[in-house]
Amino acid sequence: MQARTPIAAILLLCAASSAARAAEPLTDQDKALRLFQRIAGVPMMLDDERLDVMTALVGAGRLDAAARIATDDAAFYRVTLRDWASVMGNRDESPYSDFDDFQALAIGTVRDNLDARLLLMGNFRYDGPAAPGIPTPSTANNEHYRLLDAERADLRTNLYRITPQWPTIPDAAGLLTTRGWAASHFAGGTNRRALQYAFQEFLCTPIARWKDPGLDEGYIRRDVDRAPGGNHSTFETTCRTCHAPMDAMAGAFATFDFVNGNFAYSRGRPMGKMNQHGSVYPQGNVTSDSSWVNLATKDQNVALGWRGPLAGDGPAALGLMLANSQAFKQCMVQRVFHAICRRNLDAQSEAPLLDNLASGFETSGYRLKTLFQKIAIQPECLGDL
Amino acid sequence: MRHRFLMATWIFAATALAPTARATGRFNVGLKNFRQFFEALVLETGVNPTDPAVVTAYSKALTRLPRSGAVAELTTPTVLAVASVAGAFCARMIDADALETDPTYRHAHQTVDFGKGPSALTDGIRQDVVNTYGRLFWQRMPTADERALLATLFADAATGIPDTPLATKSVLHAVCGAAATSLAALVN
Repeated sequence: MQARTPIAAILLLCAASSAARAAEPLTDQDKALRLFQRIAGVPMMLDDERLDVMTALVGAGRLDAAARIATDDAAFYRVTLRDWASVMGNRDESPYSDFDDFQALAIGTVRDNLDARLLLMGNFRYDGPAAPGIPTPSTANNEHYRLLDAERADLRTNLYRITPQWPTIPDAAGLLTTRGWAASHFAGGTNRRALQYAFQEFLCTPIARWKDPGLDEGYIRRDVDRAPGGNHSTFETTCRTCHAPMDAMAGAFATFDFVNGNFAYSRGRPMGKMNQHGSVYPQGNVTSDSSWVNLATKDQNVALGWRGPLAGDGPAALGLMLANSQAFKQCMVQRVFHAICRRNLDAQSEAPLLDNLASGFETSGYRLKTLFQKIAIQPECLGDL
Repeated sequence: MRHRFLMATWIFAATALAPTARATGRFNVGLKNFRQFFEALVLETGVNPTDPAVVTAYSKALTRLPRSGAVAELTTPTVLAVASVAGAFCARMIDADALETDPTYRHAHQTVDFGKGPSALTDGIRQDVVNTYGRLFWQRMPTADERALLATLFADAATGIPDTPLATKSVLHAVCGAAATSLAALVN
């Protein structure tokens, strides 16, 4: 069945109508609808009994209370948080990725308004309900989460926090030790990617911004050619800038791998891939445990705002360092801002707003749901509500 | 026809990009992304999101629907993808309403007699349907201009087709699809 009149005509008409409506001031109901739609990701129907409540709250200037109604809606979890979590959890930063334990942990942490730093060091996961036909979560497959999604489970009410994250993996570090993260970043390679993406996703700092020439090369592994193409300067000017800080920290993930769909763990000793291709430069560093040290502390990396220990052992200690940085709270603000406001928060021209929101986020105990509510009611986000 | 379509799409995009007086503060207009668009249609039409027809339409169109919802994603393939998904939802909503013998339980077509042809769609019924679609897809009553154009669309869709119950559904599908694919429905 095809529409016989060009849909374009309707598009055009509505564009014109929108322009005409543009001159009208927003009513309290308009504001309530906008607030709900941006937070929940779907419109609120006009016959929804909550609309009158939200409209009254907006009219009374109680925008935070109105925002709370929107974050209590199931669509906030199914739509907004799915998008928000999905792009952080895979190599392509794709919003299309399958629902998995990474997304469930991120969404559950928001739902329960937990300290967001637990995202990088918590020893728990979020499961759906135990039900016939739904297998328990496993390091060997994603069936539990795939079926939850296929059955359109209400993520607001059907996620349960389970401790420990994995009984067989004592080195838990929240999202960094989810099977989803493992599938994306421990598969193949040398686990450096896990570190690169930890900075990119949780500090909003891609490797191009935190690489640094002149750092101690003593941690660079044996698989890195010190004279690629016979030219040592290539190593000095290119390879070293990334590998010096990256190899010094990526040891945090030394005991992990992802092989044949299975999130693998080797207690107390590094996976073989950490020391592969040792003949490339036999004098290079050999990874013998999961200790790490942060060399990315100088020059432009001062701005990351490290606080606390800059060396440690295992992923949870690394996660703690990342989560306590100034960059983490600012990154969470930027990610939430983008999810709700549909634009990037400009770290230069809008620095006061970024700082204010990040400070408030920290002061309030790193509560992400509260952050969603607070950002949504900023004039810089949805206009003057 | 194709020229008109592309022209209108261009105007649509340009209008969506332009800041408006309603966009006070720093409100940024965006499109619904793929997930938002699907879930919005679930609410707006009351169609079961696991219905094979809508799941199939959505799966086929998924990567052509807006990925992030940036206005720059508005392209002709996107508009066509949006139309195909919205069309599937509209068809299922209309089918379900047609099967509901008690009109008060229908989602959107309480005044339509699905046992009759389009000639039974009086001006009053058409007006009622248009108002309902506006409330469902735009969360507001249609403006006078929108009512006028949708009335024209109703008339156009009903012209030259048999006066049968099947044709009634066809006419409603055309109007529903247009409303669900309009700017007001796509903007987030």
